[in-house]
Amino acid sequence: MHGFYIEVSIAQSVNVPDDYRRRQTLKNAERYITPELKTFEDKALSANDRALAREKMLYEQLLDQLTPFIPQLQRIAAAISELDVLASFSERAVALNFVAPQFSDEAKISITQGRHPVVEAQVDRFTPNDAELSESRRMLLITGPNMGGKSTYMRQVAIIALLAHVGSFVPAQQVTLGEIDQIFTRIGSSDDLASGRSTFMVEMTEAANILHNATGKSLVLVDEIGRGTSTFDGLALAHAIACHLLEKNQSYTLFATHYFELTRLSEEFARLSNVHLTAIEHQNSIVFLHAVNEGAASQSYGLQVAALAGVPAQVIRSAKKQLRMLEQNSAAMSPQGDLFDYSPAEPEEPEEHPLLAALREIHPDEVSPKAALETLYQLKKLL
Amino acid sequence: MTLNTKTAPEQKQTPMMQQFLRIKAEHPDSLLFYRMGDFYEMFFEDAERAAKLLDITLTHRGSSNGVPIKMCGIPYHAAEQYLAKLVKLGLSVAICEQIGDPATSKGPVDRKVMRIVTPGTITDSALLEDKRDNLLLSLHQRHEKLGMAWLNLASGQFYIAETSVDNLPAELERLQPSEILHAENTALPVNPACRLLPAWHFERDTARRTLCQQFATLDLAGFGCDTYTAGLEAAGALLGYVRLTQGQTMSHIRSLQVYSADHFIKMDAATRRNLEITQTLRGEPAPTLMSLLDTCATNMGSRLLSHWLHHPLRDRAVLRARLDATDKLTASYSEVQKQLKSCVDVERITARIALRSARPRDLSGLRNTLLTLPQLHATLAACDAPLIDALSSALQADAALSSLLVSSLRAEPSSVLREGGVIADGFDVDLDELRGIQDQLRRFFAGTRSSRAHAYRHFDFKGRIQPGARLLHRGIHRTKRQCAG
Repeated sequence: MHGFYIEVSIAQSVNVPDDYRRRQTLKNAERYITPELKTFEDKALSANDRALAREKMLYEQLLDQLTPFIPQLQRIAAAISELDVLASFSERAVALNFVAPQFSDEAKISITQGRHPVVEAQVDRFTPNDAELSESRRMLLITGPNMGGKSTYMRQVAIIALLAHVGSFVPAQQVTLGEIDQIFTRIGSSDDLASGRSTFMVEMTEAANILHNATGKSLVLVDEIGRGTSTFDGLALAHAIACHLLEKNQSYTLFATHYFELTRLSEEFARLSNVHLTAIEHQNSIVFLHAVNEGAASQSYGLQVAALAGVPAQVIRSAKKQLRMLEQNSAAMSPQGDLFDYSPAEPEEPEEHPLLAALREIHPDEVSPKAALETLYQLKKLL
Repeated sequence: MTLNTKTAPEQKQTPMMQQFLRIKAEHPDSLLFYRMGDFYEMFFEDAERAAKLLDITLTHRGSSNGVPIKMCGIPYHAAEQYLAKLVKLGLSVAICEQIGDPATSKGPVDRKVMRIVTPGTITDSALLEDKRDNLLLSLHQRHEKLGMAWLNLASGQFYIAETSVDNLPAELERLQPSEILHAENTALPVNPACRLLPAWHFERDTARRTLCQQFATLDLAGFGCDTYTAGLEAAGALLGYVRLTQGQTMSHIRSLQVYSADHFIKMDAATRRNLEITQTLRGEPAPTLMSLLDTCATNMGSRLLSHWLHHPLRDRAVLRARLDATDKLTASYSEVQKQLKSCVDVERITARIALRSARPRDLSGLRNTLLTLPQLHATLAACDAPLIDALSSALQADAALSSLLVSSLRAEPSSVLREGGVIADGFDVDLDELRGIQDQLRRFFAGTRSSRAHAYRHFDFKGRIQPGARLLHRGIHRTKRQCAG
């Protein structure tokens, strides 16, 4: 039995009024309904459905009534968003020690004690650096050890320029910026595997884009261009690209390279300045100083970095030997210092016989008679 | 996903299957969620695909040409989480509802696709990423020129631009669209996952008509984009597509703005990646410039910051105004941020109001936010910067708007309309009366002996009830609408 009913015990059931209709008989009770109860039941049961339908209708109506306010709500949303970003700029400026950048009509990018904010947040101590570019100083040629911070230094200049043009304070002590129209970067050498292009192809595509489009108001970062091909190809390309940027594009350029030969471009172009990052050797390893100084780097510390990275000592020794040889050769080959005018290679020194090297390794005082005999057999085999 | 129905003549299908196949044929590129009672069912290849992607059981129902029909389904009230999954995977879902009354229908109840959920047109808060704009991009090539139009449906911002085809990679990196439309007869170097539309969708006159109709204007001169032929074609096709997916008017899309690249410092795709603005080179969200700078109190703020970081301005007057405002906020930013924290996502809620999909809690949140604005005004009054003044005066809500929301909604409405308890008491006489009956009923059954006595009196049974009689109630079942299909 569904719905409402009145239950009356069997003993009392004789007293029910006339309009009670019996609906069900149980062991100890009778159940009745009355017309009023039936009406109430209908009303009660449908009230829920009707209330829900009414609410849905009223809600739809409310949405209609809100429609004319949409432009106003959009305006409020935009204002909240912008206020939120500005408050967040303000909070970050205080928390991260940013300053307001200045804009100038002169062609210049002048950064005093700039920092890379993201890197700074990741390390214990960050070394701030200046960057000065102007009409008379269009390119900084950056040399120095790998891992020495060349790439961080270049990026921080771009990031400071970007932040200033977003309207944010910037991570530096003082910043003055001339007009900037574009930012280009040729950094890193990740293979574009998806499109099947090699590292070198990607590198050159990006370089081509820069050479075609960079203007005197563009900020250009070039990191280790020419790395993806053979040494001389790479050097030649890097040289030509640097010259094009200096002569044709005349952009604000930060040009990091491991080709020390390029540092001599400063003799040719007054608007190029050499700067370098340094490291000091300390007990056969090196400590990077991360400070950018004027002038070209004296050495690249490539071998020290390799040692730091855990390349076996044997390989490092052999590399050192090879390096000495190459340096002697190249000094002998190009005394006049012209990069691309190599005199024909001198006949190579005859390679040392392996027997001689083996003999040199033997220390007779430390060898047992048995080992001496074995060594003798091995030497015989080398013949 | 197209169904091969050629081998199975319609006559051999049940009437319901015929209806399904007819509707499915109109949406070959989308999964079809076919409402049956409390479930959305999928059939044939759709079912196979969805079962795999959603990790739900694949079963079958009846047969077609002697082959069992593959089927899987999800309960309608849990549809959102499944939709979110599918949309993230880049799929579109056509949602087909029962529009007829099962009780009175002969044969299968009438059904209709009410909306299509696609990656670029979502506006549900459950489907959207909170801190990222979700863009739909439309491309149309005309000779060397590339027409572009993009829409943020969750805010109503609609842009048009023209560029060269070479510039496309940089533009894709800048916009990071969730879905791309272009004509099927053009070959553009974009992700193959984009949606191809018939070429006539990009036809010039159709496009103009669609746009003028949306903005209720005679022509498009007022938007300054009359010369953007390829761009307008892209914009028209985009708007047509969105209208189809929403099955709704979209009154929050009120203008078409020209995006002129000259206003911004240009960055190519490689530069945006190399500077790790919103993504690291490995594609992670942190550590990046965005992750460091985003201490915004609202998701709206985070989205705008991300947009700003990708759109460095060249107009120094605007930049100086921002710097000035930033400077002047130094004393009060923590108070401002504290007050902003309680603000709801007004931008997206507004879009949902326009699309008529706003939930009760959207509106109550909006009401609460509007009520806090005067307090924000007071805080901002101390900041003496023209930009702050301008923002502060933009933060005024009409008294009519606030009072409408205050009077119509309960303080804490239930989260779904179908459960009731949304509209405030005292807002509507009829509703109050219907609720009064429910309340009496509830009190009656839940109450003590005394409240029961009250109910007796109220319903005028008192005099008739004999000693020892009890008013009882048993087994009221909520009627369930079941559909046999």
